[in-house]
Amino acid sequence: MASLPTVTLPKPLHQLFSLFPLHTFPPVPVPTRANPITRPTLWVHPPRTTEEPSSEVFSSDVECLKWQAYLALRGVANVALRWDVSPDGAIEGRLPNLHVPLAESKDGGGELLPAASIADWVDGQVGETGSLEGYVDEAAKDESRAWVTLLEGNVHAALVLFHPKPLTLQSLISPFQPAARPIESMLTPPPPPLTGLSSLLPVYGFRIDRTAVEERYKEAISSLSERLGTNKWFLGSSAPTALDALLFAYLHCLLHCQDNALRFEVTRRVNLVAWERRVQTEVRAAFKPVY
Amino acid sequence: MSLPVVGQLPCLTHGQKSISGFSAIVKFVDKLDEHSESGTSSLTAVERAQSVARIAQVEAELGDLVAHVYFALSANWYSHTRLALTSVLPVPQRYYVPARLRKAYQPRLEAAGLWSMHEEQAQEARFSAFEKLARRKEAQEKKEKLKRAVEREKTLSKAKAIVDPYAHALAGKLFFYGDGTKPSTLDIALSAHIYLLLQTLSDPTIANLLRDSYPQLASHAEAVYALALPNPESFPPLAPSPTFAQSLRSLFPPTALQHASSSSRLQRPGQKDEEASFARWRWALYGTMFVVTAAYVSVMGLTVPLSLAEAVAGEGAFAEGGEEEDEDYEEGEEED
Repeated sequence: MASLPTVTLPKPLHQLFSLFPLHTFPPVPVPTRANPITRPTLWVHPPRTTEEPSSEVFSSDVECLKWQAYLALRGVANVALRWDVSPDGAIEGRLPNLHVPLAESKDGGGELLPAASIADWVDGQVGETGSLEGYVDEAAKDESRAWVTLLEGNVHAALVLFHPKPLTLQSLISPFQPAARPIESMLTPPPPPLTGLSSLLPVYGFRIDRTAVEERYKEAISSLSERLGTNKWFLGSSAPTALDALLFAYLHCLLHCQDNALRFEVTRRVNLVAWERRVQTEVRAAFKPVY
Repeated sequence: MSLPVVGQLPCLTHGQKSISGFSAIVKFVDKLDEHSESGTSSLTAVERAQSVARIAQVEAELGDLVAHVYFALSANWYSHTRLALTSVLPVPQRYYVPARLRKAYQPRLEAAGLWSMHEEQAQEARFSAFEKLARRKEAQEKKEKLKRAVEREKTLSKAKAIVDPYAHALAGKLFFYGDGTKPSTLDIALSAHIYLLLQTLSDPTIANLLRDSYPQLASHAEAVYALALPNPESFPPLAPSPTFAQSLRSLFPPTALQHASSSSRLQRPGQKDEEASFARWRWALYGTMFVVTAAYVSVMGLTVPLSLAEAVAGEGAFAEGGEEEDEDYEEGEEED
């Protein structure tokens, strides 16, 4: 096979390009460097502002609080918290992320894990929970899936609808919109458009039936209270499970939300309040904030 | 037929009340007849709490699966669901409402990972007029087939993970709770979803999975259906479908007149006496107003209408004078 003909630059073009030489500048010295990471750090949304800022370690976001509680209840010690990271810097724009140190890294940089990989990391640290995932039996494990769906569907929809995140000017004009789960994906059946399903106007917005969402939320809370009864952990487990972390996160956010109707529904159930308080002391003891 | 207040089905209208949503309808029906046994009366408190969670799970996960089979899979959508919807809807709505319904399910199914994109792309590619090389088209079709097969496997594994807990909970029993004689609300909700999934459609993947691997769920669904609707005579009667004029009128927002006429039509059978007395008082008011006005006019004398007539006559004379002046002006101009 003959060699391919090489294409050379014609002389006039070469002279033209020599008028615009390529100049490589030396690297710019960066004055600040990220601190090397020594202990696992959970990046969360900032907590609510309270009278005692030093004692508040619980994030104001349900998703972040869920993973905080999971880490604490699984017995992972020495986890730090930071809430100065904006959600744009998180993987896929969603907090929480876990920043873990790597033994083999030279410059102290670690690995950033998304929320879905936190469970695997914890299994690697403290050992796996087994096939039953800490529940009493297979039936309890199947039942726990139903309770998870109830919490993440009905209760979360009520929380999002009646206690939305406050709208600030910065959130309106910033080009990075938060990647939150939209409310229309949490309701079954999906809500019709605001302009009407069969109207002549083009489709816009969603018409959400607030009374129906509230009714389902009340039913969910009463059944949660009924099922918890006087057990130490939900579904009668001997040790805290992922469902307990999820339940604690939702109860904590509901007890501190602005909407009276949602809060009263939970405060009426004494066993839920007492359970939340007990788990709160356990979870609080596991965290020391960095910022 | 007027649309439900919330804009969602199922919707139950009972007299003046309109309730929508499965759980709300169940609560309302239970309250209607307190002597009859409700779906959850025979359960313990813990079982009742469990069934609330399980029904929420059925509606969320199995509901997503049903929506996937009927709305997301193009074969089923074009050959079954859309045809059924267009046959039921009146004429203007049947051209755009089915597509809107399908789009309404998209965010939920995308979040659950059950919305199929590849089928849409394959359909679009077939209609593309710019495919020149047949070889490239075949290679693309092979890739599409592979993607579709992988997606189908993922959907099947998701469906198995969704349906397994119910199969375990139902193992050997006729119904979930109680002594097996009466289905509870959970049985009804689950059997409704499974029955829909068992129907024969163009894409029978999920139906075959249920029949082959979960026969007890299929028989449970058929048993509950047979209990509820044993023969065609027991089906509830269908309301008359709206005429073309009615469906056109429903597209535009109702005016006040239509509101009044529709409300009077609603009340006629029930509150006839009250309406009659209100009408009598209304006419009495109009009559009194007319009498008072006439008395006022007569007491003030006929000067008021007379002065009005003079004013009108005066304006008419002024106008005629003005016209004559114009004509004189024009004649004057012409002369000049």
